[in-house]
Amino acid sequence: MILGYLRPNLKRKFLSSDHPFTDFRQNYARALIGVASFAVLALLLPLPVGASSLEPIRELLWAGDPEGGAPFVEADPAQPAKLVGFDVEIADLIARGLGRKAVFTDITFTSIDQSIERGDAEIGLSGIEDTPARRATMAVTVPYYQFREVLSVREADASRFRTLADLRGRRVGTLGGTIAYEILLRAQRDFGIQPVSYDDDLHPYSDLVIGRLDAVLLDNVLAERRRRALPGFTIQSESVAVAHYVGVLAARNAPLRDAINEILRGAMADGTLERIFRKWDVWNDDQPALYARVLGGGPVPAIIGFDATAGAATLAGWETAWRYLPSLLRASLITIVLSCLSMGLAVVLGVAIASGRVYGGRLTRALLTGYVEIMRGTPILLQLFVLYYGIAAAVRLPAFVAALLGLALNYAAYESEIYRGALEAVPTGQLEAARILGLGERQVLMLVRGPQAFRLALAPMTNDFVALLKDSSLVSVLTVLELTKQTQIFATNIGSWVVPGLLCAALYLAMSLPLAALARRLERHWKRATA
Amino acid sequence: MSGTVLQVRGLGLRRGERGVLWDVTFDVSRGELVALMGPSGSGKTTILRVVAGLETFQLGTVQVEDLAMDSGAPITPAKLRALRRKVGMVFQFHHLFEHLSAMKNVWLAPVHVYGVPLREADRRARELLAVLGVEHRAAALPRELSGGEAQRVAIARALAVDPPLLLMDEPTASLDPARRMELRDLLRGLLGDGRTLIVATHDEEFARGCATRVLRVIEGRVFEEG
Repeated sequence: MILGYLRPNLKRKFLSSDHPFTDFRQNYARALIGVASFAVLALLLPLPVGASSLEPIRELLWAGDPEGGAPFVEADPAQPAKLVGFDVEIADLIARGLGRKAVFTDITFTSIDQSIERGDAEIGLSGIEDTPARRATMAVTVPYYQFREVLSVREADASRFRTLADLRGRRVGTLGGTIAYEILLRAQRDFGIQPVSYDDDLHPYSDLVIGRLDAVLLDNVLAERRRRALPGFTIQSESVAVAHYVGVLAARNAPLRDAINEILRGAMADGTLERIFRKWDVWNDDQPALYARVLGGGPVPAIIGFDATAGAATLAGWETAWRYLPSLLRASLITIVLSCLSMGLAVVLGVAIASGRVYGGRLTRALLTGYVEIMRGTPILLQLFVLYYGIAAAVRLPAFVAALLGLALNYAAYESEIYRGALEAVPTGQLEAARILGLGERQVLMLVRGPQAFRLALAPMTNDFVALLKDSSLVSVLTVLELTKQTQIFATNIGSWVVPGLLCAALYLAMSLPLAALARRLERHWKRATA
Repeated sequence: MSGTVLQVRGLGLRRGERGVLWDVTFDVSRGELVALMGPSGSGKTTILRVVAGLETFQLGTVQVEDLAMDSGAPITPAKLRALRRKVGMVFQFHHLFEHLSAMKNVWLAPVHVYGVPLREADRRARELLAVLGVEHRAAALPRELSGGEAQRVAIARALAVDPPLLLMDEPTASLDPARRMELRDLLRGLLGDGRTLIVATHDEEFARGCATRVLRVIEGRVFEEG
């Protein structure tokens, strides 16, 4: 109120053109005295719960991912500029309790911890799971919602796939970097299931229905939401584990976390949280029991029914790296095999496209030019989505095949431009000399023009191969667990990018540097070679 | 007609609005070494390119042995294949295949066009390189050859498919005087076994030293020299 009173006055005094400059110094001195008086008053007044003098006065910056959708955070279908969801309402509740205004910042779900740690926002609220790793590295609020990890299977399989133990050798999908993913990794060792990691919670269920997966393990909130929109699967009643949603803050913000905990406890006691969850149709009998434990002051384990204490976050940095190294090496193998096969196919297709554009008729040239422009003019990510999900109703490509084809079809367009340029750079005299000797056009291409063009194309091809090696990380959107995706999971699990990032970079370099050296050697050999 | 290898009648060629050849008419008989003499830009190279089937023309006819090419009509692939067996050409800048050794430049066409077994083609290529005095350069790439060596390898490549009519464009352009004399002797030696040569050159001394007949080309027209 005092600020509201002082500011307009100051503003009037400084900006009013009615005051001559001679009055300015006098007014300025008064204003300074006013500000100083306010500062003293502000220090003496009782602060709102948890606020500190170093924090922004009026805003509580909170992070979430609207891609997560309802009931967590989503753009209001009626007013897309407005966010709705129970996490939005909890953020408002907390901000009100702190005497601030909640301001949203959009952060990708898997990066929320890192963004909070960086200081991009003060608190993350987006269906964030309580885990031993988060408890070890961040300041985590009291749990405000309890959920169950539940298994979803196709209706026809409801009686034979009741637990993870029934799914030996079967593909089970979930979101990467979650408790459910950790459970699946354990089940891989214990029961021989095949975990499949997704970047979102929509495609695991659509893939389950069309038969790419045999089960999905995710929160009951997500499973029930998806079942309302997508028929064809059922949720098993027995839960695999029980866990909680929490707010997450940087470890240095523990005092603010404590203040927020008081606000959350108050909302549990006075029924505000119950009203919010009832409104979003996710209130159930698990919540009163959770609130009783929280309000009683007893410890609430992060996860019930799954021992995550041996998780990565409890280990020392290099010990963790050692533990993750085998999976990173496996992912590197996938990256290199995928890159080599894709490049091989891209080269073959690129040669065919370039030959068609140089030698073909008008229609062939127009069609191939169209292909090249479409592939170069649209994002490779979109092409991968179309190949894997878009055409799934007609052709159900396995993830690796879709990834291989997606990369090859995209790179073929770029390769073809290199080869076309190289073919056109071979001097006309060479072609005429070949023709005068009686070589047909095909022989001219195979014996004279092609080999000379290849020599010209080798350097840019090498460059493209190294680029493809790195672009192969995009195929993680198709559930292919390559090096970058594995690193991301590693980083999410330990709550830091330092060691995983260094290891990942070292592995990429270990693959790309020998490739570059081999290419240089090939170039030298080709220049020297007498063929 | 049995003694005539090449018959050119009323040949006219335009590039856009510019006339390049005007009513060119001449015959070449078997066993002749005809020199097309004239300054740069007079149309000598264009005449050779028309005879080799590398250029289309607007007026007249060109007949190589029994194979006639008419003005205006594009040469059919079958006719072109037949023409390639009758006419060989050595370019001014040689145009040896840069990625192949001298030896492979010579046997490429015999093996891939005429189906000669590789061993036989290799033996014949070595013989030709030996006759032309460059056998010791058989393994060298074109960029490793001197101008004179490249010239000889290009001649060997043209001779390897044994064409009845051999066209040579400015063969002395990259040669010093001593090499020119050697080339003159070489060309004379080639005039056997019914082979016929047409050499485009602006080197008067060379032409007079080796040609059996000289045709003057001046601004796209051909004149017989008495």
